[in-house]
Amino acid sequence: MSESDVIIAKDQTMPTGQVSLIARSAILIASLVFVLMMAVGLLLRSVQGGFVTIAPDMFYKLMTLHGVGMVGAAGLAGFAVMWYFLNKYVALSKAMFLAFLGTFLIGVVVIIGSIMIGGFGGAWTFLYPLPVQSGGVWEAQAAILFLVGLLLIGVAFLLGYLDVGRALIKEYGSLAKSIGWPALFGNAEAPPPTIVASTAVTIVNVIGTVAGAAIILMSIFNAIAPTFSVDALLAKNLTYFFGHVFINASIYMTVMAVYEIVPLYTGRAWKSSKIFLIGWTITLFMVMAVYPHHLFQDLAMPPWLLVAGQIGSYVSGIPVIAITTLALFGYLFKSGARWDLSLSLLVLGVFGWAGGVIPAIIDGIISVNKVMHNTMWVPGHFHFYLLIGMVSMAFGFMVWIGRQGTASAFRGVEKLSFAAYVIGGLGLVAMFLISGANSVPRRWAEHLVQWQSYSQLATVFAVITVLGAIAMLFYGIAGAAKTATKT
Amino acid sequence: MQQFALLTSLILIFGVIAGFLYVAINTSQAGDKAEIQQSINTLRTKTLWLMIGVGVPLTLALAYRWPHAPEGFQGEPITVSAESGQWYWNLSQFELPVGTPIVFELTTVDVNHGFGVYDEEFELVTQAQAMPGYTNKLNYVFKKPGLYTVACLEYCGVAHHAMLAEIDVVDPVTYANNQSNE
Repeated sequence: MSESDVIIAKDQTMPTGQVSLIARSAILIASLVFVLMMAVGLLLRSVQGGFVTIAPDMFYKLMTLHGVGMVGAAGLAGFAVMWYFLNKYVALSKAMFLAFLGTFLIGVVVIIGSIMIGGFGGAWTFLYPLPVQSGGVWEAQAAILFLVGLLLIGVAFLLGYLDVGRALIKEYGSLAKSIGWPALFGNAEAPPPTIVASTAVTIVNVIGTVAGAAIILMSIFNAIAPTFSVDALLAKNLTYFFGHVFINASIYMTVMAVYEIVPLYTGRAWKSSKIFLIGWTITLFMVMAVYPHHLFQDLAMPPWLLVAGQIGSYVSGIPVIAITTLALFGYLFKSGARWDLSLSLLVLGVFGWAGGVIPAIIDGIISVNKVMHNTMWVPGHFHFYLLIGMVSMAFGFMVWIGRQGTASAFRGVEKLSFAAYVIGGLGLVAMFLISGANSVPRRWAEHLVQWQSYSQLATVFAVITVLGAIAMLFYGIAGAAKTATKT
Repeated sequence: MQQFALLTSLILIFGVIAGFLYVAINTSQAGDKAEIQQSINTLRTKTLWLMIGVGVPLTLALAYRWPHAPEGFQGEPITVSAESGQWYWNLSQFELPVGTPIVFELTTVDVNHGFGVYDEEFELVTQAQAMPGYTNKLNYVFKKPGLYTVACLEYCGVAHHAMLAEIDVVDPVTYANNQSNE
């Protein structure tokens, strides 16, 4: 790796002005939330390690906050990345983005109120009927407030996605065209990667968000009038369908930063090859079909759905490893690209995604799931592809957007911060996976003494991760401030 | 099972790490773009065939023997009702024989709970969910005697981590004697 300055190429087609300002603000807000919620996560691990003592109700409130905050920030960061790059190709409404952001932030305030004032601690997955049957710990009003906050966030994303869908249809004629089917099944020219991926995300997240809104509304009705009861298995299916689609879509949106920024370093354009188009078409269907892998231990589920969930889990991993990762390898290998912080974070992100898929697939085998489900193995795999995967890509985008067109050496202190994030993150993930393999359950406020050493080591790694993340946020803010003074 | 899953995952993860490191240390050099593209295409074709040709039949094979029907589950089972609620387990029997098929009929009076069975070394041996409105039947055969712990594995509120019960697994003769003495 060279110490000399890298001039980050400023692609003239990249959006500037207000679009850039809006995207920079959104990614900074999301990154700030990431760092704050990481600090909450660190506290949770230190409680499990026995370093800090807090009451269980506070633990579960903070666990709810950590989960909902991270999922919300992941959605926001992903949407900011997608929205920014989509502006290269289609005409999006800035007013609609601001409506999205405004509604999203109101939802955030409502949710924080429901947790910190109302005492809601039903976890971000709001698994029916827990929100309204707290065992006397929080009132139904707190649950209603939480659910209304989630609904507001759902409405916010729907506004955003509907505008994206509208713009894609206006430019390309239909979503079938913008996802590249005329090129896949014929000889038409394929749309750019960002367009293909955005189309898949828009389709699945509109459906996923509507499913989520349906169960949230049913839960709200149930809270107001308990005679309106919901089938618990149907509720679980809707919740996990929504949750699975939403969180995966946040990765799909953020990877667009890799499609768009890596070529500026390598000089090799990311192409919508046939295999790329096949990958996204498979992903479109698979991301909606595999959610039953969250329900392997719900024995009332039809067995064929569980088997489909197992096969789907595996097949879903194929595009990530065989298409995205290998494509990245091809674009990077002997490209002459110089490493800097942004490129390193983006590549780390793809690594986190590919690496995290492996324990996910393993847990997606029903016989393994029998002894791994709801152990620490689960946060192990999702921290792998979210903390090291998705968040790294979001940080990479944040650093890049603040520095484009400027000279950027990979300075020693940046390398150190990057190394802290990598080592802390990998250590944290390893401790989750090892804990899971040793049967330590997830979501427990108090751990047995024999489990505490895992959490103690995890706490150390979490401290290192948070320090690395604070540094990334600092670089993001510094870049934004520099850009602001220039313009 | 758990250690095998961990080992398999670690080997594959190290493979991914090795791939990224190899590419990362070769990034700054210049190379022939067309040649690299050709090698990547070949590698991708091989990877796709490997992942589809080997992986898909493997995952199908792993689901062929139904994982919810454990090995050795033969003969007349003992049915144990296991009712759950915030935050307790109410089992119809707290003593069970080793080597005998057991059907746990899992129900809940309030929210979702997870019926996780831990052995004496606190290794998770089986689990299933208890959900409102349904009776989930979990089949299991205890392989060794000892004091087992039932722990909740689905987040159910403030005392989730304290929702524990114990099952004493004894040899079939002791079990039969204790049953007839009751």
